Amino acid sequence: MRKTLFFTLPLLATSLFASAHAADLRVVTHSSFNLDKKLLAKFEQENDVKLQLIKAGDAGEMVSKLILTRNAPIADVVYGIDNTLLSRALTADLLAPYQSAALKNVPKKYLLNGAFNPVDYGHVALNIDKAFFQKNKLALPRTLGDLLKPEYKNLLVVENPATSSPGLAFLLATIKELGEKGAYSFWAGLRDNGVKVSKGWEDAYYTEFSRNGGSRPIVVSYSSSPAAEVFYAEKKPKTSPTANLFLPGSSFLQIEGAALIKGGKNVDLAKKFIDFLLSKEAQTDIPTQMWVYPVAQGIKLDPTYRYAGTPVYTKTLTPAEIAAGQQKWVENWTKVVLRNADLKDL
Amino acid sequence: MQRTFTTFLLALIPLGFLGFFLIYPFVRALLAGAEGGFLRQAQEVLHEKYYWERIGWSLQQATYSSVLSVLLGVPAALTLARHDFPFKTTLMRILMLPLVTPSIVAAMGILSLVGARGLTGIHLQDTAFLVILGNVFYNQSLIVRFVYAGLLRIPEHTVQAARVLGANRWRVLWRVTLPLVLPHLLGAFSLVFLYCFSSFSLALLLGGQKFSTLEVEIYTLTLYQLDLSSAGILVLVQFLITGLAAVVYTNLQKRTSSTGEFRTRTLPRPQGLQWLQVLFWTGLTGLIALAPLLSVFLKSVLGQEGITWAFYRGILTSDTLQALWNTLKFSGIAMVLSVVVGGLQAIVTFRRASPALDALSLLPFLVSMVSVSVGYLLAYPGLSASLTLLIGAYVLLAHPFVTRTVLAGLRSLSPSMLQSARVLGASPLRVWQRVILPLLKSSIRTGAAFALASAIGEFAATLILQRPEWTTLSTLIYQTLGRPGAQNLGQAAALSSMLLGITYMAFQVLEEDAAGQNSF
Repeated sequence: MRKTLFFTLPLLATSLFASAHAADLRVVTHSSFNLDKKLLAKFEQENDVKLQLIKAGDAGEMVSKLILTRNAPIADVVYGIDNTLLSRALTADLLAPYQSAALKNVPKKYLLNGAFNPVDYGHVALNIDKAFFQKNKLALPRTLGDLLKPEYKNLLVVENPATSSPGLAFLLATIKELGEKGAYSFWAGLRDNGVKVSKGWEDAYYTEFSRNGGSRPIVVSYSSSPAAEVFYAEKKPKTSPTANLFLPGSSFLQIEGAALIKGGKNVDLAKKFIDFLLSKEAQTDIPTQMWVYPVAQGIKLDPTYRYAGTPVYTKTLTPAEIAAGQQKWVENWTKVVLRNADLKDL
Repeated sequence: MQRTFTTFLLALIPLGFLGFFLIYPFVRALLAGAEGGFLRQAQEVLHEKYYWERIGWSLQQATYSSVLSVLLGVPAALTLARHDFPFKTTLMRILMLPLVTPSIVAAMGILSLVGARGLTGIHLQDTAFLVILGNVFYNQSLIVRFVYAGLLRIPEHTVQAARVLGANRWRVLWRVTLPLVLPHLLGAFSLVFLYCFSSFSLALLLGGQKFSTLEVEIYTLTLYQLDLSSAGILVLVQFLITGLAAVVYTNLQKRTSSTGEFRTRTLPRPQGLQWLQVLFWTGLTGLIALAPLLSVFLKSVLGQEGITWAFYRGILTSDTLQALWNTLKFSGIAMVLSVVVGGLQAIVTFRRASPALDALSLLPFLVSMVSVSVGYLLAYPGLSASLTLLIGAYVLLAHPFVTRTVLAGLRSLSPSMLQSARVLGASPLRVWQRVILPLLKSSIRTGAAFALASAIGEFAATLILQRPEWTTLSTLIYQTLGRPGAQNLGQAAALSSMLLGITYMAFQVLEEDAAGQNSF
């Protein structure tokens, strides 16, 4: 036993110091970050750098962790901040200004701030299990209000907006469509109509969604999910087993981007990493890796993307509006949906 | 005097470890919350009826789950310790598999049995019973294995003496066997209770937000609302409850400490009606452990048109190989370190015989892991992507298993045997080498098996610390489940089946006795 000790103690000590390697670029991302390994290896080789990808959980969790550690930043560059979180990051003074030269090829509407480099965007949208509706000869709902009808009782699963970014996006969509008060009474109605709340996308999609063995044929996911269903089908189907359900006011545009972290080291390499995310190679890889759209123009999408529709947005929320309301909205949502609070007590 | 000094030296490693990986980060996280006016916050939080309901539910589900685990586990352990029968070691290993199952895989398996469209036709989805069933799936094996280990330590002559003196079988069970096995049972019970009380993902995956536990509230408050001071209040409440449970347990365990040597003995085959008993209890526990896993395996081979190998072909990549290697490497290191830290901690606790040190060994289960992980960020931001923190965190969660089993083993060593060795002129070191360690071997093995199991399943999946080349099988499963599509679901099921198979084999290596006899 003593022998083991003599071996393990130096091991602990050396690994403590090994982590402080100089030519490392620390990139913090949300846990869904994914790019072709060869691409990342090529970036490492060309810039003679070792990438440390720190997966910090869901996007919201990631920003919280950055705020908690802002005095001694855990990373040099962040990818995965989106329009719902940007203002929070800016208020906490987390980001340092940098605009990549590659942004000239990106439509103006995605540029949100001088410290934010848009990389991709996606639509959070309701998805349905087509087989369920066919088998039960059930008509699809046409408005958000339809979801409160008895025939759609116990059919919807949503992610908790306090722990999941698609969940938050869906809440924001309802607030944008129905107004704050209207949204609360809508959610109270959903609660009474048996809405199920999951922690995150994985458990909503893989344990509750009826397509994968659950009982709920309507799930909050992304507009690109039906395309991914075809791309990752066991045998190439003629059409997707799932479809988007674009009820008016049920979709939300998420713009994701990268930024320098204030106080980070290796600023030059960090800038190069942002440029790399906007490069043609990375932009081409993004749609089938993370199932979101590239911001750069002229990128060819995988053919399965024909199963991904584009919702029409009638109203929008600015990052500033989101920042001002978000915490209160989520708190009140929790009170209404999870704690059965009376609407008068909000 | 010299003895105290050696104990002190030995204590340095486990105490230093706990200080670095648990106490300092935990205090840092609490202090970060205290800046926002603790007292006012405490008033506010403790006024909320909602939080009291969460505390109540956490206590309820932990109580139901651990009592149910005992009711299932103790009879199974009794039959296992009394008889020898075919496939017994296989069964013992199967019982360990739930411990390595990633929570989302377990949830999928359980739901496919008793969910909305479950194979059994029983529909428990959206009920509290599902959460309890999930907890029992994970924890009954802890009870079985701990109690089984305790039963094998009861000297046969004690039981025989009672029988000769005229006690019937029930009386022997009630007055001799159970009191002697009680410390082991209490140890397992407290671990299960604490596990269930602070459970995080399983409660959330199977119960949805409606049945979320205190730890889930702490997580949401900390990492989404950045309300460290409110979270801090709940952390303290949780610590108060778990701490109380630990003190009660250590007192009980000390009072019932037994002595007895571990020995492998040949057990009789069951006869006549005993077969029924054996089949019923081992069948029941085996079924609870195995059924959800089998249905996950079914998912990995059943495609649209019957049996398919497409999902297994899909995982035949270098990524999977790398993940497999990492899983073995990291959990192997975590296991060895757990044996060192946990073993030393047990020795120190045994020598000092102090209830405080005893309770300290449960500390990782007493404090909120969410706060500790935030504490890591605050205390060691430079280490956030380092392997040290990753492995340290796993040793932290795994080493109590070693401490508990080794401590129970030390307490049942017969003091007269050690004394006679000393009288016969052996130096203290030699007594350790030649007497104590060989006698402790089986305890260490049990502890190591538990440590390995907890490391293999959880490795990196719940942690913030990641690097692409550090992907393990469990993180790969989560990554695969991060995308929609039948192929991904099937591949995740295939990876999970592979993880379980590898673990089964790892236990085979770990548990093989030198004499070719499986003591454990």
